[in-house]
Amino acid sequence: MSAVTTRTAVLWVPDWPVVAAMRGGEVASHEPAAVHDGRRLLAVSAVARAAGVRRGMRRRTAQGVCPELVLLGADEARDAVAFEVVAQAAEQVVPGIEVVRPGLLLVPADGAARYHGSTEAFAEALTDAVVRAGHESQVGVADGLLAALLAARAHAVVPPGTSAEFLAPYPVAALGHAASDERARAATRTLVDLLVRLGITTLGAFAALPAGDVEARFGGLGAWAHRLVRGEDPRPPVRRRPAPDLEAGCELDPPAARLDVATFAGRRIAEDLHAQLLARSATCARLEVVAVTEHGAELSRTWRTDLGGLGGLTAARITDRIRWQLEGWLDRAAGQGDPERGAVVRLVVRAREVSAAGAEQGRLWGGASGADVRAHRALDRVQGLLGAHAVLTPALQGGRDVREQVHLAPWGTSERAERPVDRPWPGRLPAPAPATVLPAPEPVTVLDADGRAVVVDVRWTLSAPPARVRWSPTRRGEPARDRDERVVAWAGPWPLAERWWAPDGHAKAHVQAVLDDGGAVLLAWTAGDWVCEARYD
Amino acid sequence: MTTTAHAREREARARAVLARVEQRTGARSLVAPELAPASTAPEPPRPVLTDLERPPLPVPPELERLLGAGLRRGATVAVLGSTSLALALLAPASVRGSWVGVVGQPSIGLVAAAQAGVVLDRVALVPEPGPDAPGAVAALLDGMDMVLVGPRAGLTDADRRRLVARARERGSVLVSTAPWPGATLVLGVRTLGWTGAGEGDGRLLSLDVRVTRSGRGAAGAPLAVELTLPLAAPGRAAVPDGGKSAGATSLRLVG
Repeated sequence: MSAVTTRTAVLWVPDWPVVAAMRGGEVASHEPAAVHDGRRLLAVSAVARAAGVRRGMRRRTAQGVCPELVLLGADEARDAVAFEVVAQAAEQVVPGIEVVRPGLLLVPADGAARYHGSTEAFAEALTDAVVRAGHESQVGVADGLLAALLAARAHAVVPPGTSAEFLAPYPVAALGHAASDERARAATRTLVDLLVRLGITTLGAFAALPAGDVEARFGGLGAWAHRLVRGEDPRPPVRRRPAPDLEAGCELDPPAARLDVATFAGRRIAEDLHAQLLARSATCARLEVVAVTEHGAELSRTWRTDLGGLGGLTAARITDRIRWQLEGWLDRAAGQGDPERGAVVRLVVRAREVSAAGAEQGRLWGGASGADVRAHRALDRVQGLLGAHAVLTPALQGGRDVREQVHLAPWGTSERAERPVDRPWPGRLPAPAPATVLPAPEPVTVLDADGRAVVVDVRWTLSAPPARVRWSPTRRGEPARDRDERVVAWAGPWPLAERWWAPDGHAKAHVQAVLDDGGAVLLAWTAGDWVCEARYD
Repeated sequence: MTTTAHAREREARARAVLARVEQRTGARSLVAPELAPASTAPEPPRPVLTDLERPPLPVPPELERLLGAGLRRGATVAVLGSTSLALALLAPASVRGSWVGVVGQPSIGLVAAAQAGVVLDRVALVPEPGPDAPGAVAALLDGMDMVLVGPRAGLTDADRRRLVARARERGSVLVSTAPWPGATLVLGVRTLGWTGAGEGDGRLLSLDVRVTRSGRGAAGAPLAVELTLPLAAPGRAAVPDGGKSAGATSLRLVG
């Protein structure tokens, strides 16, 4: 056979979704079970199949056939996570596997078979490894993907060069096994339907058609299927070979309670990590710095390394990240006398998402522009000058009052906004937002026309229209007398009761007040007191 | 004749490539725009030679009477009395890709900034620079087109002079919300009144202000305009009520 083909092994765990769901749902293996997506059954356990339940049945029909059937919800994430155990077990036998979908693994078999002595021994080693991980599996080895898939169902090894003969007697519907996702499956089903209507019922008959005619009549999908049934693999397995995370760490004995001592150790491990990265000509997308204290508390923060312009990831920059992180930690520990915090006993830097240097993914529209590069460099310099927490990057996040709609993160860290913006957030303060949000709300007194204090009652109404707002002197240096402003117009109150079901819930009412000097303020009533939260200026 | 024209064309092309490379690597912050053909001469605001090399930063159309075609690079602008106006001043340049640094202004309303059109992805805040404020502002002037300096940045007059020189040299624009002795341009804002709020009804909608320009050089002639804040965000039509009414029309039947 002149065409390129790959000797492929397929490891198949029958009915994987139902196996994973039964593990997760604590269903005993002797009970009939099936996974159901709300419309029809997606996978059926062997016991249920023996009772006559089939894939694709509706729930009513399935329960009619087998009344004691346990129905489990479909969850692709659970399937994928549970399958990782199997994938790791297989990786111990052969490096470089491709997970086609949860339940199905693809392995290039040539080298592994040579290593294990024979194809049969290799298949047995794979099955054994998966059994040790707690799952039954079947392995098939053949030339090409489709033959290997069908061989796995028969738990057979097809000798080299005989894939076409092996496939010939199968009905064309077997092509559906090669489709990896739901859309491909639907397209394949249409193709199979068409083939059957044209009188081509077996894969052998399909393979006998001239390739050019197949492409002309059935298009790209037909050509793909035709190559599969002739035992020619359109593509070899895409091996997954995750680069290991690199790390460097050290124990600090005696524990480092001072910043300079810890940073000195940090410098050493930064150089170590940098040397490791250089030795592999690798770079990393995230840098994680972990410090463990003598009380066992762990502080970890992840830094992005793809920002920061042209400087690259040098040992000095890694040291900077370590120093900034420890700075906040040790300073706070010293200042507060917090028993939970304390001296650092262990320091680790980890390079995450390691990839070959020069292979990083650029942005969709090319790399960072000159202006971005310049700005990144400037921010790095300011961060070096003032410390990590002095330079913040803002982002909008979901929320209702003026403060919680803003998410601030130190420049260069990979912290994400907590709440999505694209939710409705009913009760959010109306636009325009105040241009000045006071760093700390100022306590004020709101008085009515007669000089009595205005309060908000349980029904969220004001006891009287506000007439004056009084600022009491709070800080030194201010004139030691009250400052009164007359209210010329006001709007509100807008009650806001958030998370009233949770212990961190709070309730407040907002009032916008226009003062007689032309300015406007945002007042908030919380826990029986008025504060001035922001100014509209 | 043709050879000189050919040589000139090659030279122009080489210069364009060089400028692009310099801008891309960040070695140079400004692009020299294509020289405009001489036929567009009747346009009154004269492009001075320095403006060709350093195109001014765009400003909101409502402020063009006060500021001309744009903010001259290297200028120092003090905006006194209205944070909203300062944000509106930053927005057009931010939309066009400039970075904005905010130093010593912890009270800046970032939601208002986003509503004014400032792109928060290109904003960096240094809320409390402490004693190193001059260094921080200088570093940001090196890397960013606009730096907003607030009252919490502790600067002496000597620092201020040095920063003005730095901004002029780097072609950045320094915007101060606190009084800045020696500023090229001072925009004084007097509030005329808020509209929208009543006696417990409505909500704040817009602020009428009178902006007075003063400053040095050509900006010395006093000039005042009346504006309604917030200005329309660049690239968006003026929606005085913040676009809320658009959602109110799309009622749908429920239940």
